[in-house]
Amino acid sequence: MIGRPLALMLLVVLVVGGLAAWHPFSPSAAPVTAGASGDAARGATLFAASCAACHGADGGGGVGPDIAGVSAEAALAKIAAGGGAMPAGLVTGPEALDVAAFVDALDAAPVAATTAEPPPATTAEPPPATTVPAPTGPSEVSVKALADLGGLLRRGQSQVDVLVEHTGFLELALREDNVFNVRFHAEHLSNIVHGEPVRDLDTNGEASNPGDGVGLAGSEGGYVADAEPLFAEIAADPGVSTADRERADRSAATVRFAVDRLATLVERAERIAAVAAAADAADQIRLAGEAVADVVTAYEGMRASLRTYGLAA
Amino acid sequence: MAHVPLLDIASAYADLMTVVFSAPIVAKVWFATAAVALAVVQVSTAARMWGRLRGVVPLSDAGAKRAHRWSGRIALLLTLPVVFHCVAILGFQTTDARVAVHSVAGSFFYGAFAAKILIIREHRYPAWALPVFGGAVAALLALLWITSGLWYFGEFGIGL
Repeated sequence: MIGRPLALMLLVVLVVGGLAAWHPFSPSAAPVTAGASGDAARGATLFAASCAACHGADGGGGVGPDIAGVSAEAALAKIAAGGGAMPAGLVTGPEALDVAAFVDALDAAPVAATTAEPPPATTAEPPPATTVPAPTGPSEVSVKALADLGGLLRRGQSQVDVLVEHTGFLELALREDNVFNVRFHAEHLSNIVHGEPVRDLDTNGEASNPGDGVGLAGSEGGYVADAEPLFAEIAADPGVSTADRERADRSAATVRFAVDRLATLVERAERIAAVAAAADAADQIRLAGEAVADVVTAYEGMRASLRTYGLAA
Repeated sequence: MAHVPLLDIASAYADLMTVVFSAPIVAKVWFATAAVALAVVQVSTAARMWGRLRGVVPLSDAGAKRAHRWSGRIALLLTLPVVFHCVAILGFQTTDARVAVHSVAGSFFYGAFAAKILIIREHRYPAWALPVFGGAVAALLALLWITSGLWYFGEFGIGL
């Protein structure tokens, strides 16, 4: 009765299904040996933009699983197939080969070679303390405050580094016109600053934070914000020298400046995380980058100030 | 890098799609969404042609027929980049239930479509055949979109 249409349908189903089983343009269909077909260096940049947010900059895992040690072939298959919250085909064609080559290389060089951005200049040593006055008998309170500050700012440095790294990812996503990564990395910037609770600003259903959750200046304080009362304690100590007191006052003002710039950054990040198109975020990303640069400078100043205290043990 | 012609084609496709969209997969999702929107037009104009939904679809018989044909042609064109991406790049997969359902439904879609066209062209099939096969095409398209476009928007938000 309807034999011909059914036969035609079956024929087309077999043809389409056969083509799908063959999928000739899949990156995993190409003969791949890492390093021969893919460019791991180019893959590092692509990985940083499209994969590192979930898998970590060194592939060690995060929201997504640890992929260090995964072969190029397996990486290609996974890129093509997707899985869990990862959509299939996030990168395709030669770009998939490049990412696969990079993932393959993670096995041999899991850490240093994996970050696409060089470390920021935030770890530069401050000028030597040539004009440090002698200690004048600080109280135990300010000595403890200095020790606390030392630990606080040392731990915070890694979070500033993460902030700078993700600012780079955000700018890369803008250059690639990748609105999802733009929004994704904007969420990260905000959460690195804000700490817990982690917020899902890009509304992808998953709140993620590449930072350690403490934050730099959130509602519960953070590495930068918590420095101000400590500097204030030192400034209020009658035992410290005038030079140390003035330096503490200036550092407290620097902290306030940094906190203000971090608040600006969060505001920008919230706007960026809501854009409909990557290009719409261009101005906000530039302003966010300026805020991050200011934070880095202020942070350098705080750490340099701490090192030059005559109080320091 | 070694020269791989097949991947050059996939790369050219990706370059073409990213002229407008942020990634090929985003293009796929939006093309599929547009096709589903036109499928709604298809179903409603088909119903109108069969004497239903007169109050909802304010078209003459001839207008409904014209709208049905053109929405179908445009919808079919919109599915071509989607099927290229799905069939030629991603391929048949069964990694989880959603993907497996999507792959099976995708394999049947053009088959159902071809059968429907044949039924229209050859006027010798039972009256129920056309609405059944036409409905199957629309249902398969809806299922394909639910298991891909809707899922994608839910996971990653709506954006270009």
